[in-house]
Amino acid sequence: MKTTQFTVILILSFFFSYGCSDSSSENPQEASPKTETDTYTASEPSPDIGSGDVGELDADAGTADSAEGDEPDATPNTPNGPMMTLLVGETARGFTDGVGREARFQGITCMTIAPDGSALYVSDTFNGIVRRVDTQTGEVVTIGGKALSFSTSDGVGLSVRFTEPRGLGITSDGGLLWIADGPTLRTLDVSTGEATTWAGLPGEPGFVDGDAVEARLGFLIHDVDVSADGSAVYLSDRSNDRIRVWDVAGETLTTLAGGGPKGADGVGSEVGFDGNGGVVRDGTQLYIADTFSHTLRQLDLESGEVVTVAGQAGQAGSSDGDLSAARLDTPQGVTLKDGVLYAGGFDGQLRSVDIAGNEVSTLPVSGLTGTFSPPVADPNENRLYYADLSTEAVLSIDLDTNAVTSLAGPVQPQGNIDGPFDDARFGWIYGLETSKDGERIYVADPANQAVRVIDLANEEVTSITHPTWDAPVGLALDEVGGRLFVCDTNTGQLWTVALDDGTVSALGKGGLDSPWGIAFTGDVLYVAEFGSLRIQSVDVATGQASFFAGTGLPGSADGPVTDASFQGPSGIAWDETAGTLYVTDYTGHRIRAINVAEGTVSTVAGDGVEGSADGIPGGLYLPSGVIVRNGKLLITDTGNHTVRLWDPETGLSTVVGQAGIGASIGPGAGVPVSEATLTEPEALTAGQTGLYISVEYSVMHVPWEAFDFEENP
Amino acid sequence: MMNWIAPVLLSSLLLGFGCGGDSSSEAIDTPLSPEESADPVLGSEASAGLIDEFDAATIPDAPFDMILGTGRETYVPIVDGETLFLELGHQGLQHVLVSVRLFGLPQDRYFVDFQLVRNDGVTVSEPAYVRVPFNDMADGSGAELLGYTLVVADPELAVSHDAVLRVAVEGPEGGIVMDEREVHVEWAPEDWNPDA
Repeated sequence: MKTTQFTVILILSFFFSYGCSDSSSENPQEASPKTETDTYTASEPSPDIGSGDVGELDADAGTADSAEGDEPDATPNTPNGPMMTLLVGETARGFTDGVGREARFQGITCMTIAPDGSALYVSDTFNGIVRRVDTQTGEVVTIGGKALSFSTSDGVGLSVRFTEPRGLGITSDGGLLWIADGPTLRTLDVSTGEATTWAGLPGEPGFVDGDAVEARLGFLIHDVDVSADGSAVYLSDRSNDRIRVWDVAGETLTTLAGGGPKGADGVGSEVGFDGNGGVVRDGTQLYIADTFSHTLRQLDLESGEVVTVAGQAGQAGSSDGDLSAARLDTPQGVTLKDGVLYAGGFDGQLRSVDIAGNEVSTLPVSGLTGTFSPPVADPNENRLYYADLSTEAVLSIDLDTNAVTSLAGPVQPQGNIDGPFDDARFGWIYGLETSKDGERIYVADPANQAVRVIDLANEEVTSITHPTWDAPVGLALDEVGGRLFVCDTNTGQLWTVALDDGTVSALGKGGLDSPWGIAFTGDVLYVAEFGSLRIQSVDVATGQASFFAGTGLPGSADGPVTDASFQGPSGIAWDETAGTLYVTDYTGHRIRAINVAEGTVSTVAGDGVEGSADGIPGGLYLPSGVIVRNGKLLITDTGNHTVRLWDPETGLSTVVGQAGIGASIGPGAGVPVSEATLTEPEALTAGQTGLYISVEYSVMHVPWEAFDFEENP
Repeated sequence: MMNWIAPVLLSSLLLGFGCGGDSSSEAIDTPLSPEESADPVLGSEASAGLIDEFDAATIPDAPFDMILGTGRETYVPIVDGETLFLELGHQGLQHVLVSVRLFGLPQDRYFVDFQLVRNDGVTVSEPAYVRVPFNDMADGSGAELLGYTLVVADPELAVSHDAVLRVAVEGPEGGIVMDEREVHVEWAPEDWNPDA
């Protein structure tokens, strides 16, 4: 039953992430690992322009390596202050500009290509920005809007905003992008950056044909195509199941087809679409991916007649064959290359549709996870570009070899790969522990049933595994004893790993109830039991566990350990100087302190309500990891996407990330800490040169200079 | 059996990140560097909205006039000191409703600059300088825009604060008029009728 429940949550999570505007259209597939890797060059960041904003990267900037030599975490500061860098692993979602793997996207829903093939233009929908991707270098630049600043604003440069850019097309001279931004039709001048709104009203979707004042558009215009002479802009209005055209000179909007029974061919209002998606024009013929009809349609722009050219309405499938026998599955978009249509959709398949040859076939490419965006054909090379859904990457597909390579965005963000930093991948990260000499970071990777070891000197990742490990999440080092304690939350078992030879041994008889964080005091191992809502103390000599704090009933009562209650104890840290255990009460949105000698529990931060306020008591939102540093706490405030500092004198403050903004950076030179954003940070650990934070499938490094500490530990 | 996955998935569910409309989302504050300010594309010289340009002392009288209000489907006047309600949009963002009446201009699309600025100078609305449609008013006296949704990224910055709602309109010949109201911002009550 739990598996079922978690599956539901997973689906809902995807829905929330991608289904913001169209509850009927999104059905992302599970990610399947890709096998390709890619090389990339890390360019220096533009010193003046924040990532994800309109700007230009310095094309002549030199390369940099974030992990060079024996001090990979000794990141140089810049005039903008200390930099946060990605140490190892990969992230998926974000808005940073950069070259190739450095760049991040969040919800690519449409792409088009410059007529000369030099650049892709991308609607980065959930970031609210328009990006340019150089097809030769993979350099990604934001050319319109400001990341995560959602509005509709015209003008030039920094005044421009997009609410939810989706369908986009480009004029034949490559100078002007036509962009459907929610229920408005806008242009973005590629050379000047000027944005203008031509039709529709922000926040007011509708279906009205007419002039520039009267016309209303649906909220989700999936794709846009511009006529060769630039006089007409064809809109695939999915919200209204219609194909519409904007007369550029006359500033009028007209419906060409749609409104009839779903799947019906014919002319004008006889035609029925069902969630029409991507379109591509070939002279006077407009090909349409009619997504939920599972067909490709052809609209004759002169006669207005629509016919079904491949698939059968209402019959999803993946069979190849002749045009009428073959079946398609929710094609999202279509492109044209050398007379052959290529369709991509949620199923991660690329289908070729040869109308002249009366044949539908499936391309033997692997590693695609599905797409919202139409694939895009390179006008010069036998190549398609594909916006991969789960990995948030722009991929390049060689149609001669069917090889898939990454052009921009993350490269295989989630995985189980040991090896050099550039190649290493993690499944997810909870526990982090740094060795006292600062040379190794131990990583609890429950998705891979492993403890991973980051060797900072050799820039390499290795794994420690055991056949019965299911979900190791908590780690605690005992370097005096030469061992690492590991807590497996699924099996409820504690383990020790000998640091000298990696031997794994069970500690105690298990039976813990979803144990999460662990902290070692030198003789006692304390366990935050998420399931039982208690703190257990474990005698490391015998493995004997006994209840130490918490009644086992959900609550937030302070007082004697036998009377106190927790709502979701998760992280735990030991402050030897104060003789205090600190516990993150995850779903209680609080930080609790346990005076071990006195046997009392108190609340030191958080008012119990989701919030991000600084001060005393301040607000927290699903705090998870915690470490002690010089009498202060550093806390991963997971729900706020931030790291908080708790000072007993001043309370909470936000030291990394920005509340409410979940976005990750990619590898490269990093971003100033003052501008850094995180995605659901979970674990953290203190290194010699800075703080390490787990973000998605990666470990970030923030130098100590970024914090207001009087001294290093 | 992947019990460990529950908390993170739960947090993903609760956060719904990627929706852009997270109620706590806010613009990332990246102030202009001196180099950016001087940039002809990025700098304020090229990107200023109407309100920043407006200078009653130097701009010639525009051959039209305007009056600022609220309402969704009906123009509703607002007077200084009135409460302006913040409501949730369908995409998870929140906005105030702005209506504008123009006198002396015909039905057309015009550039309008909207701002909601707290009395302490903090701008709480997202940039909104946009060419929007004005329809003829029923009585033939001019053209009106009804129910423009001016986005407020972070409601905590606006709710319970006094602010100034400021709107400027550029006419077809380039003249600019501006109107503003001193308002108090609160969340809209559940039974709120914006057209009453």
